[in-house]
Amino acid sequence: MRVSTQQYFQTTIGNINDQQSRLLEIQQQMSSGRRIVTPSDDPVAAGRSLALDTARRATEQWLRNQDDLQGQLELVDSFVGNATDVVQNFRARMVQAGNSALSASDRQSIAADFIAMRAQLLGIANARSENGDYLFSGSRTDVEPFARNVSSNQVEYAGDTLVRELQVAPNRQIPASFSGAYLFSEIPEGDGVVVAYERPTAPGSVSSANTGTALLTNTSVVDRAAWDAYTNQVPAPDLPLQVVFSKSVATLENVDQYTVLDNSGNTVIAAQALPTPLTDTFEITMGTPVGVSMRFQGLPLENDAFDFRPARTENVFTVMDRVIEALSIGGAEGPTRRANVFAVFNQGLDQALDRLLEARASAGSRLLELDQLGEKDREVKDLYKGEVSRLVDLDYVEAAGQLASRQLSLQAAQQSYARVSQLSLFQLI
Amino acid sequence: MASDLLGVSLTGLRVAQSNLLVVSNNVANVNTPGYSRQVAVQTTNQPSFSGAGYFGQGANIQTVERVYNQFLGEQALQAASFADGFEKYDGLVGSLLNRLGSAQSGINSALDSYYAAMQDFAVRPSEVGPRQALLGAAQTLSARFRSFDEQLTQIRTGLNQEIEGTARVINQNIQSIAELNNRIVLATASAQGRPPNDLLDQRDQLIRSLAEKIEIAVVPQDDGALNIFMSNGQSLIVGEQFFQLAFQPTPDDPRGFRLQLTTSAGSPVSVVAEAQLRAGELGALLDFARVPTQFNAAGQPTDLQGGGELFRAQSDIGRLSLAIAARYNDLQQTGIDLDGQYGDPLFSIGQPRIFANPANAGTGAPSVALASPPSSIRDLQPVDYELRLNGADWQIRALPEQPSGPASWQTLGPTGPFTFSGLSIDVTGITGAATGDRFLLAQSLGAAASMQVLISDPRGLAASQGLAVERVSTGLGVENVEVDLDVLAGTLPSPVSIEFQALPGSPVTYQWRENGGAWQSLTLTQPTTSLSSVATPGLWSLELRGIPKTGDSIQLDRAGPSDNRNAVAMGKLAVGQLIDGFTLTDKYSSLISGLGTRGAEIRVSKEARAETLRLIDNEIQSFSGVNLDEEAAKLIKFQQAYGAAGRVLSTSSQLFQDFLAAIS
Repeated sequence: MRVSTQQYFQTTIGNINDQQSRLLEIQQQMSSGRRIVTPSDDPVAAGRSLALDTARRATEQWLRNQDDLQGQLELVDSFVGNATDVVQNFRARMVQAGNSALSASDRQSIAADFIAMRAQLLGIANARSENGDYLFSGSRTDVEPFARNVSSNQVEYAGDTLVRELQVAPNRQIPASFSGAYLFSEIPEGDGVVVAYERPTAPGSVSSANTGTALLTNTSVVDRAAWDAYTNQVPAPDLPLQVVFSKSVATLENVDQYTVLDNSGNTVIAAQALPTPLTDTFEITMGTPVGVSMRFQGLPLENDAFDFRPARTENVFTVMDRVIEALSIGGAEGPTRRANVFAVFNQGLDQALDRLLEARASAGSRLLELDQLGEKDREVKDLYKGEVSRLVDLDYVEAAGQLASRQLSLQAAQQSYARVSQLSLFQLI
Repeated sequence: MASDLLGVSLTGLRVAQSNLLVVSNNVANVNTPGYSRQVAVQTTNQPSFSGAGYFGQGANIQTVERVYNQFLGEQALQAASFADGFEKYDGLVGSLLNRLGSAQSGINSALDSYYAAMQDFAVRPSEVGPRQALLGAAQTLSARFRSFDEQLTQIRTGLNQEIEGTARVINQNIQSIAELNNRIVLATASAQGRPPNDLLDQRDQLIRSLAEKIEIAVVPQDDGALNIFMSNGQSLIVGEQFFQLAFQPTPDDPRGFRLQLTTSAGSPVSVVAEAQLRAGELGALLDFARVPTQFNAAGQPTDLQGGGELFRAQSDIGRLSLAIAARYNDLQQTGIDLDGQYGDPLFSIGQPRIFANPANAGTGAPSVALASPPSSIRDLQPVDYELRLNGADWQIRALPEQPSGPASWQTLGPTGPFTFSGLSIDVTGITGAATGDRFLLAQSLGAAASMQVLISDPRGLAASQGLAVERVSTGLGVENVEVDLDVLAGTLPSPVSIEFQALPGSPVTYQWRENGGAWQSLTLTQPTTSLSSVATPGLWSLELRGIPKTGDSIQLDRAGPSDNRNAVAMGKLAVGQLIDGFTLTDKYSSLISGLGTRGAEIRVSKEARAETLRLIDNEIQSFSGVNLDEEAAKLIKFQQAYGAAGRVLSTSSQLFQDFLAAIS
């Protein structure tokens, strides 16, 4: 092939240019530490690394949220734990308070204890987080959730039920606390379906106190369909219902029958015989329309009555108020009446305790889930990091090798140019 | 005989001298760009007849030729067009990528910080610190969008200047070629058809540099002139006439200029058909600057996404800003801020730009604005629209983002003003419009340019959804009530009391009422039952779990400062498919990787085309270039020929002397 003189120079200079630009490329890579200097070096990897970076930053955010939530849940868990202890102590002390032999002063000192415990629980219920927000007031974290209403003389809940949820994963939100309503003020009464009590223990009603020794030990709905049908009537039935013991013949020594009345005194179930003989522990089962069964211990006297109605929710502080009030009941019937009150509210405290334990279990499972999420996310974050690094970071060993080889080719090109440029026939003639 | 000997030797001397002249010219031009080596064409003289036959009368130089291959020359032109075109395109895409692509300065890093701030805000909705940080991140984000738009606008301005400059260089080239054409025709004619080699080389060199700027076709004429056409068939030089490219600024066009072909005197001939100008630097510049608002012959605006890389980048950035502003404003305006008020819009964006089809019968353009900025921004969609008159009615449709094709036309009505997807469209400024008149409403252009954060008070961020369940009374039938508030603008939610009753029967039927109003029947569904406000439809709706009992009730009231439901919903937008079925960050990543892929493609083409050109240039050089060694050899050869001819001359002189001596 014929070669022109210019071609010589152009080709060798072109080669040297090529070698230099390749050398520059690897130098850029080495000085930046990145394999991809501009996205067109490897568009797929560049796009993917952007997406992975975003995913990694999102994961780091989830981890931050998880940490935050964990701190808050641990705080909540410890307060709920304290509340559990207080309610447990209160209940244990109630067993002691049920002792019929207690003197008035004994009862007074127990009442003082109870009052202290109530204050302690109130303090827990009004706990604040480190930034001053109330923990148990739902979304109204700027409002003290539990305070005694002066006119009703009851502790009332001022928060709401909306608990802040934190996002800890793209599709997972976990509540950061519990509402005070759930923990303290919306505790089911009785067994959650029906509640029964000796009337004066319910607020706002007046009745002469029972005089017998009958203690209501258990109340349950045995015919749920009948009970629901009766209580769901429109207009609503006049509740509470009342079981009244009486004698079929006035001269009998003991009561032998019971009647179920509504709140206005209308008969719901006409007189039914009590079991005979009437033992110390007996049970009555009311048929339609109510379908409720009650178990008693001790002997009711004529006109002794017990109220019952569908369970609602009650406030644990109100339960404590009632127990403390009951301690002041004196007189001959005092022990039975106190026992009846304690029986009802023992059940109430059980429910409150169940609720607190349920909350602790729930907080525990949330914390466990957070642990697992955190472990997974930390792993994922490292994976993302590794992947991005694999995509865009430079392999220095390989790059150093390439640098050496490119340097060598440049040198070769330069030297061959120097040699070839000296070749000319003109130098020989 | 002897006098003949003298004459013949003289021709030898003359021929050798001429050859030496040609050699020395070659040596002198060894580095002249575009120079083709020349050779003297040497032939024998007419022989003279004598009785003994024909005697040669020496040699002469018939002409001086350049060693030139027409075929290679033409190949080189095309190769140069493509090589330079791709080279230019590669540089343009590279500079665009450099501005958009970096992980630190890109949109994604600002978006990521914004998302992170949003999460912190959702975690601590009642504190001012995270709110302030979120506002800061939003400001950074909108500033990033503004600066991107500005940079892209700068690229376009620079691009247009470059196009204007390139057109000027092309014009000068055309002029010079036309001039050379004339000189070559004259020179060829006056030399009885012998080629004016150096003029030809000069012209070829100019044509080569013209081909680097714009793809051309060259048609040789009999008289030595060349006619030159652009690859789209429009002529640049025909005979003695030549044409010029006129760069005319057009402010009403998103691209900002029009290229027109004019006569040498400057009177317009036609608009340059750019679609077929695919190669050369100008082709690359025009392709990169391409915007799709050139309405085609059928009167359809092409898909807005059909523009060049620059336009697509600007449009995508604009649409991203639209999607952000619309979606976050939407939540912000339906949420409740720390002061218990509906949130104000968070972002404002720029007004859409309107472009009329040049073929429209009517004059004027619709005035299109954000319906009542900035509160209407929440209704915007991240698309551009096409508006047309069909009979008496104006119709509108979204332009396609995906190959799925455009949306169907929606009729707005005959007069207006119309409100459509957050835009208010006033067509009263158009006169004489006829069916088929079209306009492009490009929201994506201009949106990012003035993206701003409107909220300065951190308390104004709406973290809350307004209503919360305050109390569920009885709480034994109804459990886990979740309230999801959807609000009517301007109506702040007030406490709501919801009561239930269960009517005995078989089956039991249920009723509910709101704030002591009329009882409504309630059909329970599994797993949840939906309830929504009857008194103020749309004010609230909630999901109910469980079976209500008579006397059960739910109290709804204003949520407190720790209600973060709206903030969580805003946080979730980070993973929402807000634009073309992508999340915002994915959309941006796909913009970058799309550009990167295009860049890589172009780089491959560029290298291939450059290699092709190098090979052809090599062949040309190999064929036409001067080789100094060869010239040195020729020098010796002709020197010797000259010496030999001189020797013959001196021999002839010696013979004459001998003859004189013999006769004296």
